[in-house]
Amino acid sequence: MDWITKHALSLTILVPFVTCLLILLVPPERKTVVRVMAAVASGITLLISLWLCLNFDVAKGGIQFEERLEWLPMTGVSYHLGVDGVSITLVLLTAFIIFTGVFASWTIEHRTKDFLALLLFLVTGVFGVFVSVDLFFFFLFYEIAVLPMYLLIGIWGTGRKEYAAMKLTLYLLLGSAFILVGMLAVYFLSPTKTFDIPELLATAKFTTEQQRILFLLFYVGFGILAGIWPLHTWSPDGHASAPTAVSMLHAGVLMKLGAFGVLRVGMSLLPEGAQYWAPLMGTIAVINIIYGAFSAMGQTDLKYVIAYSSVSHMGVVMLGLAGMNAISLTGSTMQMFAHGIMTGLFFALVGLVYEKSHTRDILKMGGFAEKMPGIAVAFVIGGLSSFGLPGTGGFVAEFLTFWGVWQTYPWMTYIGVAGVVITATYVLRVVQKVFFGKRPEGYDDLPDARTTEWVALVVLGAVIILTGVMPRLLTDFLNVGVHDYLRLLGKV
Amino acid sequence: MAEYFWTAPLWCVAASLVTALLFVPRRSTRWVSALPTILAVALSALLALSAWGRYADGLHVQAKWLVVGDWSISVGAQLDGLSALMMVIVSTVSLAVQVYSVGYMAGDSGFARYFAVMALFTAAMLGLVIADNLLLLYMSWELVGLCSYLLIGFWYRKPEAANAAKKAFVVTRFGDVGFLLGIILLSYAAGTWQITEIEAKVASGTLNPLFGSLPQFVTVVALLLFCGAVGKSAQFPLHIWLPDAMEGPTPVSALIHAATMVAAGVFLVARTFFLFAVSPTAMQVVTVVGGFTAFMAATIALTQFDIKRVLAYSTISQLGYMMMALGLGDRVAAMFHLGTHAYFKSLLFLTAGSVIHATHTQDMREMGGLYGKMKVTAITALIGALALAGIFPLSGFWSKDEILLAAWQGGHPFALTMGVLTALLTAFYMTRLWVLTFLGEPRSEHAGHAHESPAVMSVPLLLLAVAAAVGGLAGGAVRSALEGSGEHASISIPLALGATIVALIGIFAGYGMYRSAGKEEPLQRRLPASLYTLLERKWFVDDFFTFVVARLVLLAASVIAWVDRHVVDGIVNAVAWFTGATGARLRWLTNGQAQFYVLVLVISILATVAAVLNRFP
Repeated sequence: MDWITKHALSLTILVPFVTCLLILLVPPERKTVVRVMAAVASGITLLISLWLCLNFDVAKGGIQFEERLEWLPMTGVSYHLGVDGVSITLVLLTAFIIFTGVFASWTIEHRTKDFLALLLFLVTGVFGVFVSVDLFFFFLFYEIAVLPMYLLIGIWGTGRKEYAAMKLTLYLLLGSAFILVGMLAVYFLSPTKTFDIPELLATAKFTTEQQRILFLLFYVGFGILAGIWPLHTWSPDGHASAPTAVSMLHAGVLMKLGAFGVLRVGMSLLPEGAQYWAPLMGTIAVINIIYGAFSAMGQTDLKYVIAYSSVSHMGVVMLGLAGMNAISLTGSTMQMFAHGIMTGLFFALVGLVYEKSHTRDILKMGGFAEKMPGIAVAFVIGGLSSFGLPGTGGFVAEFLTFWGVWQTYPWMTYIGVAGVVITATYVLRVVQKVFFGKRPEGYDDLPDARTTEWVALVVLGAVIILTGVMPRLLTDFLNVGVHDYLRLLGKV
Repeated sequence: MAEYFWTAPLWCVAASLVTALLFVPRRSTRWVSALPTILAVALSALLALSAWGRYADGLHVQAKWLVVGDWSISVGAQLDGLSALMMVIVSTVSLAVQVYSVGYMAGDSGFARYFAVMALFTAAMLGLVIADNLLLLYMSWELVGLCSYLLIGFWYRKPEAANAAKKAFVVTRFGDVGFLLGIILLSYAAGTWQITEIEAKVASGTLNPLFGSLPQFVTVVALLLFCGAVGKSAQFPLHIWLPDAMEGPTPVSALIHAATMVAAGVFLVARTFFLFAVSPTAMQVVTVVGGFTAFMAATIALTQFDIKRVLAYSTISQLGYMMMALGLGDRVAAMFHLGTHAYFKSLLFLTAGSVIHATHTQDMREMGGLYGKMKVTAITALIGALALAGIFPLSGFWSKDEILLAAWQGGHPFALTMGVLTALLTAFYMTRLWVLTFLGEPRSEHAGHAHESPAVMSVPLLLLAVAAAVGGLAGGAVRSALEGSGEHASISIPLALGATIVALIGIFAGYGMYRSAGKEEPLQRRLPASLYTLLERKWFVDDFFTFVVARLVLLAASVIAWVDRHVVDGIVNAVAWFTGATGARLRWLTNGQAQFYVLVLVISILATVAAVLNRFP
């Protein structure tokens, strides 16, 4: 037990990884066994994440649950894990998404075993990124998270899946190239030649010039993953083609990983660079919000609507980062969580609707609420969070972001808030077209969600409302985390 | 009991949850599904009535909701005259409507869903009126909007209902952007979200203007807040959603789109009156928008045949009246009229529902002759109509008189003109409505076979009719609740007499014109064609929004979506194509023949040697 509590963070990586390996040993035709194994493993990671949250010392702050193993001392690489107030919420987010994602994948019959093994491998990487405080491992896990994507979309995807898989992978690898260059530069410019982030924070001093160049590298590199305009076009294609659980993980968690990378690596190591580029970051974020929302309104494919809505909502995250004050950063990090849950729910629902109606063209749908009331209610809950209705997590996040950013760049708030109306317009338009109105011919025996399909709907829907009604469940963590980052930015 | 006034919304939330979890999944249509809602609302009404006597005690509760940076935001409830008055109005009207709904919605497959949302609405509306800070006020404000959306679209299979629901939400959200920006500015300027603290800062002049001078800043903030009020209270030009909202069940129209939610905009201005009061510009804007809306909506009401739409335009008009009173600086008159209007207008809507229930139509051209068949409905409707027309001694007479008096005393000719004209039109179109519906011969088969609604529907009508009749007595109580002094405004006999004469002219004109009207509209013959078209097409405001604004937004969406696919992503694909094409051109270089590689190697070495020798001979 003692070992477990001391290595809880390692376990978040190890549990999915070991299960992935164990699944490989199961004969492919035993699909139920494989599904149960994946569900149990993701359930355990969810419990561990909740345990971490319960035991995180909010009064103390800083990096907690640290584990450190010297790995290659002469190169300055160490297996160094830890979570702060921000990353702990992202670990929890990942656990929620993978847990519900496994259930959302229950009906996959094609190469079930390979699918779930790859999915768990992918999650290993995602957990790894959020808990690593060593740049080398951060990058390693990041690549682990990106690569299985290619196979998952290419084999189990729909539509132009090969094109989308290739585009997504190449685009993200382009981002990695920027990050790698930046990382190596940080390493060689650091006095102690180390990849360890706490050590870098303590010892490294970069000149203003260096900071400006390096921050731009990290911003572009991680920003691609966060879907910043105009480098976002991999996201609609990728998310629309990917199978349900992969869309959930990718839009729900991986895009946050990009934004978190900007915060953890870019802003905290290179505060002067961050402040230099903040107006640009904010401007692009506002473009993301408005442009993404209008693009979503112009779509007729349900999955593309949701995919473009992510582009818009990630703009809120990046806008909060650009605001660089306590309120806006709390809003931004809260939006990482809120959007992750919300978009995870959306993709789970779109998957269900598609599976049952065999179409994603919203113009061909209508009146589905009568036949699938549960799915309709969950969709409306997701939609409410999407356009920031009070009582949902999305409201708290967007409100804090816009409120906070006003202090730094008032005009960005003025324009960004308008995005909320556009979002309401397209979300309600989709609700109207898909769930309300007359039901076209041929949909007389659409079923509602069944057994395992309810898991994602109920869990994620409940989290949306819980975080909206009692936001302190999250913001108490985020506050301490944000305080740490503000200290590094010299703002406290 | 009054100390627990703040639990009122919580009971309603609980009722909503119980109904949603127990009865909605089973699609229960049994009357027992309405019980949690009715009990919770009844309890809220009791709490409200007990709170009414204690509003001077400064009861206040709050809890920390959010801590971020140096800010800790509390949510809380505060009891004062304004919130106590609103609590009483909201909870009693809601109670009458819920009981009525048991009869009206009987047998509907969404019966349980209806009550679950109605309970949530009542909770949010009560939260809105007792909120002690702007953030909770805003949150409740949005939640009532959500419930309104869900209830307008209650019969979601009807495309018109689905469309109306979306329109209502989006149009009001448009105004809410201003509201949100307004409270963001105000919170920074005052350093707090608490309304009483902000009021104290405004009063002492210590509000920190974020830009411009203090009066300029206050004007901007007040106008931003007013944007929200314009959307919610359906004032020109954002009034277009309310008539369409009549697609919802009629009791919903009575509660949400007549008595309570649409009055929230008026309440907001009354709640933040300390800002408006110090800004003459903002006051002028409120007066003009309110006065114009009152007049415009009343003229449109003349030409509508849908009984609910007549009432909807009448509601817009009366809300304009209240706004105008606020703009004239008379908060008491506005709130008094809000209160009397809540009762007589919800009464009118419920009688309309009773008629629709009996005749299965909303078109007044297919009604007629219902007086003999539905006496309770007809007489209660008459009381409501006369109250609305401002006939002595019914409630509307007293509250309307106070507003006209404010316009008179304020020396505001525009407001006075609009007020008198609207009073005339109101009396006329309400007579038209009542005569077309209840007098003459039945003009359709359904109307011929109509019979009175059950007691569960007619008892609420009777109770509301009593309130609509004697509500005028509450004028002094409202004044003392809002201003602390109980003396009734000196009633101006000439003005009251004049207003009554104007109303009587409207009534007699309406009676004369419609007494023997068939399916044809006499007004169409008597008005110039262009004027009638203007009214019938609702001053073309709707057309402007549908054909200009909505088209423009959709056009922008298609253009941006196209640009994203073909320009932004086109560049990405072009880069990929260029890389691929370059690779294809250079592919022959890696042909796998060792001889070729050695040849290239040898040539390169020779070239290098030659170059080096050439450089360093």
